[in-house]
Amino acid sequence: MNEPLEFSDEQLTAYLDGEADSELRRRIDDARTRDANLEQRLQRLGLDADTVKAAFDKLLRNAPAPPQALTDVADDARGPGGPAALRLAACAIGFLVVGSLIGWQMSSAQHDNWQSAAAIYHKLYVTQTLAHVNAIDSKRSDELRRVSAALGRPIALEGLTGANNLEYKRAQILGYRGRPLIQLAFLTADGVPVALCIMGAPSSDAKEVRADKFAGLNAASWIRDGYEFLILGNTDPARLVRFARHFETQL
Amino acid sequence: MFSRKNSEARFRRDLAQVFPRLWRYCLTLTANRADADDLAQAACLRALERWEQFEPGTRIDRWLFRIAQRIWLNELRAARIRQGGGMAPVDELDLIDDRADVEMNISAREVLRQVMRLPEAQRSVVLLVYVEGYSYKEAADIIEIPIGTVMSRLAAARKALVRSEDSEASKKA
Repeated sequence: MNEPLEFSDEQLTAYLDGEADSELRRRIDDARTRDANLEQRLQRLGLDADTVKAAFDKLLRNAPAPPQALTDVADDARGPGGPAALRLAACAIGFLVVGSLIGWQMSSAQHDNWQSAAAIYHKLYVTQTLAHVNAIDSKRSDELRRVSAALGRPIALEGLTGANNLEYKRAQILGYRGRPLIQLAFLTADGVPVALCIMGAPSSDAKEVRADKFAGLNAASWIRDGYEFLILGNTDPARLVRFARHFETQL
Repeated sequence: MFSRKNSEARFRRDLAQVFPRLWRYCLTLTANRADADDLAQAACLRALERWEQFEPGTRIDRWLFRIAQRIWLNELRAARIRQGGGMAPVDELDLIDDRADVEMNISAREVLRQVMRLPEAQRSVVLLVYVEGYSYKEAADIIEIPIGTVMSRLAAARKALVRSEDSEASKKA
C-alpha cells in the first residue's frame, strides 16, 4: 500500500511557479534534500514555461489588424453625439474592410463575398443589440428614405412590419467593396436577431428563395429585379425561408 | 465633454495596443483561427460599447480577456455547438500562417501544437499564467474560477506537456 503523498501535484506546481507561500516552499525545499521520488515528481511537472511563452509570442505577428475604429483618431472629430449603435456599426464595417484588405478573414474562399461578410457581422448580434431599439414610425420612415436612396430602390416601412413574430427594428447603410449594402434588422418574438440584407446586382438573374448558409450562419437568399436579398439568423433554416418568402412578396 | 472624448480616445488607443494579445487569447480559447477573429472582434465591440464602465488605472488587458472569456463561453461557443459545428479537431487547426511567418521554427510549432491539444480549460490557464505572466489570482479572476482550480488545471497541463515532450524526444531518439 502506497503512503499518501506529502505534497499534491497542485502544491508542487505552485512551488515551481513561485506561487507557494513561504511555509510550503520551505517544506518542499527541505523534502527535496531527502526524497528522491519527490525530485522525480518535480521533473514530471518540469515544464519550460519560457519555451511556451516564446512560441506563443511568435503568434502575435499573425494577429489581424485591430478594428479600424480603434486606430482611426479622426473618428473623434465626429464627437460623441452619434448614436452608439451607428458608431459600433462603423467599427464593425471598418473591421470587415480591414480584414478583407489584409486577407486574414478571407483565408477560405467561402468568405470572399458580401453575404459572408454580412454573416460574420451578424454573428455579433445578440438579443440586447436590438431589444432597446424602439423608434417611432416617422423616424423609421426617415431612416428608410435614406436607406432607399443609397440602395436605389424604395423600401417602405409597411413592407417590413407585417411578418409574423418578427419585429422590425432599424435600417443601416453598410458597405462592401465600395458598394452600399443595406441591413434591415429584426428581432423575433423569442429574441433571435434576424437581418435582411440587400445589395444591388444588376447583372444577376432572378433566383427563387432558397435556404443557404454563410460563414456558418443559417440564411435564406433570393434575387429579384437586379437585387440580391439575404436573410440571416441563428435559427432554423425553414423559419428563415418563411421570412424570406414573406419579404419576397412585400418588398 | 472634452475630457470624456479624450478618455474615450485613450481607451481606444489602449484597446488597439492590447488587440494582438487579445486575439492570441481568443485563439487559445477557440483553437480555431476564424472563431478567434470573430471572438476578438466581438470582445472589442463589447468593450467599446461599455468603455465607460472601465475603471481607469486598472489593467485593460485583464478586463478585455474577461470580456472575451464570457462571450466565448456564453455566446459563441454555445452557438457553434448549437449550429452543429462542434469543436474543431486540433489536428485540423491552421495556427500559423506560413506565408506571414517564415521564421517560425519547428520546435516552436511543436510547442504550440502540444499546448493547443490540451483541453480548452487547461490551455487558457497555461496562456494566462505562463505566456501572459498573470498570477494565479489574476488568472482566476479573469476566468472566474477558484484559485484551486487554476492550480489543478496547471498541474494537469504541466504533466501532459512534459509527457508530450518525452514522447516526442523518444520518437526522435
